[in-house]
Amino acid sequence: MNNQTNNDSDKNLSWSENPEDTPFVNKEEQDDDEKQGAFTKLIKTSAMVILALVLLIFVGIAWFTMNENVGTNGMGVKTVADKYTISLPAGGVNGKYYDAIHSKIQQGEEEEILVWTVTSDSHFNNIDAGSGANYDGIEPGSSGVISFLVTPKVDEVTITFDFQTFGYIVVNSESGSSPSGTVDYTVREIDNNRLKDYLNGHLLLFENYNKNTQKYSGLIPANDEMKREFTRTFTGEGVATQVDIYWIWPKNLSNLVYVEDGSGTQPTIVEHPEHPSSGSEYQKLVNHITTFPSFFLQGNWSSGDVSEQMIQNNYTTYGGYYDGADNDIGSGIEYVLLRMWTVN
Amino acid sequence: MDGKLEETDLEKGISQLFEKFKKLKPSQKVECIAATVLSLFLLIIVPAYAWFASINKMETLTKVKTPPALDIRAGRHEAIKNFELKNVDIGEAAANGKCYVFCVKSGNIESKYKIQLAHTTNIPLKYKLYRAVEVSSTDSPDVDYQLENSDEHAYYKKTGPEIVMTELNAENDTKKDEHGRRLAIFDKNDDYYKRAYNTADGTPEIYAVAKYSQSDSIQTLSAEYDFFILELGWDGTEPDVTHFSKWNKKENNKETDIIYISASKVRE
Repeated sequence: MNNQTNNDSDKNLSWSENPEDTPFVNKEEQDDDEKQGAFTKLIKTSAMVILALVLLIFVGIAWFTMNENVGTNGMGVKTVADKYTISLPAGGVNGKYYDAIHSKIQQGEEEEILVWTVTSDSHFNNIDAGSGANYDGIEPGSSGVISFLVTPKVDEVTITFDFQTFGYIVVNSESGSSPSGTVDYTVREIDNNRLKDYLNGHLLLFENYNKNTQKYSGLIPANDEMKREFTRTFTGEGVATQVDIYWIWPKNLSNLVYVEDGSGTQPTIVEHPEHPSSGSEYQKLVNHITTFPSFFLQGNWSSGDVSEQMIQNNYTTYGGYYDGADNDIGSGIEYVLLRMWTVN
Repeated sequence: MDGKLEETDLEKGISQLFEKFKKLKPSQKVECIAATVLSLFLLIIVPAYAWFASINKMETLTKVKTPPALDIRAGRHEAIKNFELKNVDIGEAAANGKCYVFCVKSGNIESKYKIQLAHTTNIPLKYKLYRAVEVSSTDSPDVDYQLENSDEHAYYKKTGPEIVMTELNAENDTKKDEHGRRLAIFDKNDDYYKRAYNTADGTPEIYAVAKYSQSDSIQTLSAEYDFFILELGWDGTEPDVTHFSKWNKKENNKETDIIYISASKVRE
């Protein structure tokens, strides 16, 4: 039946030819479907927008804290936090052992750690300083200073610095023995706890050194977690302060504990007053030795097993334990890594 | 449109992109924008965040120098167990001196070391130390050293003067018996060590009383091994024949001595 009309107002009426069709489509279902669709899409887009917002915040923070170059080779001005900047002395280089050894260690590290670049005035015996001042590593008796700069961004800021030493050996990656020639090698951290202990005691760090008296003070002792820590307050917004870390590998135990014997006394690296008080620098060092004798001496020691008196009365024996530990370090550790980080 | 210049392909592409964009439903448009922004952020964020998180650690690496190794070996730098003070003919030692060779390796031509001899004096031999070099069998060698597990021999001769050895425990030298053997001293009153060492008739026993002698600093001559000759002899200050023959009785012929040779690095 032709019921066509030319009246456009009839367009919206949906007359169906098929008598079985209901004249009205189920509008509620249709609405629900649409609502579902719209709702899901809303969730999706909201999630995307929130994610974008979070990332925006991160970028913002990163941008705010990054206001200098990031680079190695002495250009490094590294921003650590919003209150201070840590930077390195100008003109520093990566160190003699970077290409062959240190870079391999860094490849294996989970996080990116900056290279503490060295100069002829601030190094760890790992620099060719030229004109006869070439350094090729450390041994008993070695000492030096390594520095960094702190520039507060506020009037006053207190920073805690942590240090840790690690020992490494070089092995043939296949056989596990020391390589020779151009055999492929890996650099592996030592797993001997005794040697790790010795690094804590035989490589000492101090905050101060008096050039006139040639005495150290401000010991930064290691704790039983192998970490050494000191805290310092810096003042002066925008003023760069140099922090010097004096490192030393004392040659003999008599350089640490004051010993009088017939063959003459070795000078102690820390000033030994006639009657050391409990707060004196010397006493702090002795306390460190008696608290952690296993850091200094061969043998199985616990805190309190060795006293200053025992060392002074039996110096040959205990000095021998110290020298033996020196020898163990020399035989068992090939490279030492000194790591510094800020805690706050 | 009239008057419009030909569009480049890039401009065409961009305008096509915009056309497509305009055709999207509004929700799709939001998705598209969000996705683009997200990708852009990822490109910036990843490097920035990695740097941000790891900034506060730094480290430096140095080398531990190898400790110098001192090694004492037998002739031809064979293992020390091949160093034997065997076949000591007392008569020959008294007459000509009996020589044995050993070597010291210091591993560093610039370093110095000291050699110490510690020995008992149950046989009143005198020990002397000399530097030595390997020579051929025809060069009147002082030592004929047979290599381990082999028929081959190596020959060594003394070079230079006797190495001066200083006694470290010289105060015991005052108490000697008639043969020149050291007597045990118990205390400052010069009483003999009565409790453990006396025989029934009161004469003191003298076993295991050591004499310690040490050389001065010896300069390493060879990057490989420095050879030395240890000469066993008799005291040349006494009339040899009298002195030796006094001792050379059968009750004295079963004495035993222990001798230690040690070397230690001289720390500069």
